[in-house]
Amino acid sequence: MLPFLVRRLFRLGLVLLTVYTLVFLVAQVIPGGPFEEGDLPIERQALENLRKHYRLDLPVWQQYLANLWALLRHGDLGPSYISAHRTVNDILADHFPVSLKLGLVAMALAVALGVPIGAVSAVRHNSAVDHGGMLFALVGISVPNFVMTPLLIVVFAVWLRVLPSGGWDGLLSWKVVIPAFALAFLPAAALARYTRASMLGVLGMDYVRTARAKGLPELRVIARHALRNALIPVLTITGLYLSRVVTGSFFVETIAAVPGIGRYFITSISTRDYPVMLGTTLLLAFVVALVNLVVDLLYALVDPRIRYE
Amino acid sequence: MSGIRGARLRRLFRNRAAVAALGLVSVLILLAAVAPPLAPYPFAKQHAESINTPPGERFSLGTDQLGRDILSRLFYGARISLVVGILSQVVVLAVGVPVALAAGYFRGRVDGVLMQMVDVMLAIPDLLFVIVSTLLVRGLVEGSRWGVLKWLGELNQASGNVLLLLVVVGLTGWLPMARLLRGQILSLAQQEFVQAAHSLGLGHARIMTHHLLPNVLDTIIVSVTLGIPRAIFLEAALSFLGLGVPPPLPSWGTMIAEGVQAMRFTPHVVLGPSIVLAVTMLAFNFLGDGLRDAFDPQAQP
Repeated sequence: MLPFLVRRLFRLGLVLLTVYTLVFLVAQVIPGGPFEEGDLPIERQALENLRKHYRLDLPVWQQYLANLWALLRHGDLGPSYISAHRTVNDILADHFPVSLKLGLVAMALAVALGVPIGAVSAVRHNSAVDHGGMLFALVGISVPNFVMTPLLIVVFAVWLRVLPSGGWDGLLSWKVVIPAFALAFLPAAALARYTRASMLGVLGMDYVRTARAKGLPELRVIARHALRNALIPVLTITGLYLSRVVTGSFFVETIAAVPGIGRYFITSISTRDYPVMLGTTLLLAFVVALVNLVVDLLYALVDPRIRYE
Repeated sequence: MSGIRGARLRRLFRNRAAVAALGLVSVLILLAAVAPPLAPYPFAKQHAESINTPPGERFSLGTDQLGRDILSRLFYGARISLVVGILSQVVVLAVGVPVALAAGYFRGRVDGVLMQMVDVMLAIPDLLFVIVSTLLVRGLVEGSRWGVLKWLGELNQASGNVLLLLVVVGLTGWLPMARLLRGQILSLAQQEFVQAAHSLGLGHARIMTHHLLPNVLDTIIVSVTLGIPRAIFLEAALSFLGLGVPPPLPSWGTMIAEGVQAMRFTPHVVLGPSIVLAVTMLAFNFLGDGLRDAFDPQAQP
């Protein structure tokens, strides 16, 4: 177990270094920068000072090494080019927790909706329940969240006036409901589909027939014997969507006015705010790798036959 | 052969949802094709006296914040969505099919290198890939004085950026298809009929195009059908971000972005394009699922 963990953490470090290098290279290749001559109506000298302040006057390889060293030594991701008085660390610290909390709620919702819908659809294969469940899944997969969010806001906030239309007051506020549902739809739909497919496979197995033959109540057969064995692919899908959802969605956050980190992924690219782009991408890579590791460990918990050396 | 085709068509037409989706998709394509006479107004015409008018007699779906008729804009927006959605699949086929054929047929090192590349690219989120490559290509082509690039840039501008959109969207779309196809070709290439073709002295190219390709046509059709809504989604997302077609051209994504700004006061502006986009995506996905079920009754989603 321990050597496995050490190996995985080492690999995590390697992945992060690769991502760092790749994004740094992409930032060099994308034409245009934040401090290009002629873009800003300022003096030549001021521009030069700016470039010096952000270490942009150094040769590329020196920039790379200096920035990497600052990151490794002090965990310092550097200043944002665009928000002049904020560092990348500030931005991550202020906005990532919001996305994380919202994402965890959304993912809990998705699991609570998707897994039962998928399981019931499989048990009642080809019934009206199954068709309804799969219709829900297809709608969830088809409707993008920049469509889902305004639709939810218009229906529940503007017309019915039962929910606030946006904003953020922490988790214990009605403002969470619309963005959480908007985020949850796609993972719930995907989970419903995968749970159903996986359950259909398991329900035909011999041990399910044995469990029924020895007279176990149907609910117990399904919950303990079938669902548990159908859970491995479900866990994979949950992990996949979890890392996406907790790192925030540009669309949901801008439309529902949630001050999360999701919007910085996009704005940092379009405004050429490379340090923020680097920081958010590293965050994403870190979360993805971490969630994958946790999912791998959970496999062993769900299926005792899986062991890590 | 026609017996199998017939059975498939019968299975498809027994699936009522898929038939409805097929009908809807056909109507959409038709409407987009004949948009100009159907649209009540030119898409960029601003009716300054009736800004943000709710749906009514004169404007059946209302007007937006510049007083433009939403219905007319939806008609023209359908053209952009469908052109990018469908033509991007040409790029998907042009890249995905040869890669899958080469990897699955030659195996070994060719397969290793190609699939490694596919896996690395699949790890990048679609939207991120599309945004970065749009900026990259734009910067490269625009302002280029170099012959071909300059010409391409001008062509792209004349097409309202649609050319760039469909290429960039297509360049992410081929990845899942190549992965799927390669697996099938890998197992097909081991079968006797391919060995027989070899022993008859047929060349690699002919075996690939005449013996392997016809056998994976089903998968290609399904992938392409399911690739269209993905492409439509990416185009709308890019346009929402202001990286798609330039104003005043109406993309559904742009219309949603504009509508969102005032949705608390004039919800009709965002509703039209949102519902149309959702229904379009749903129709293509239903059709794709129906085709898959009809081609392969054993397959689970």
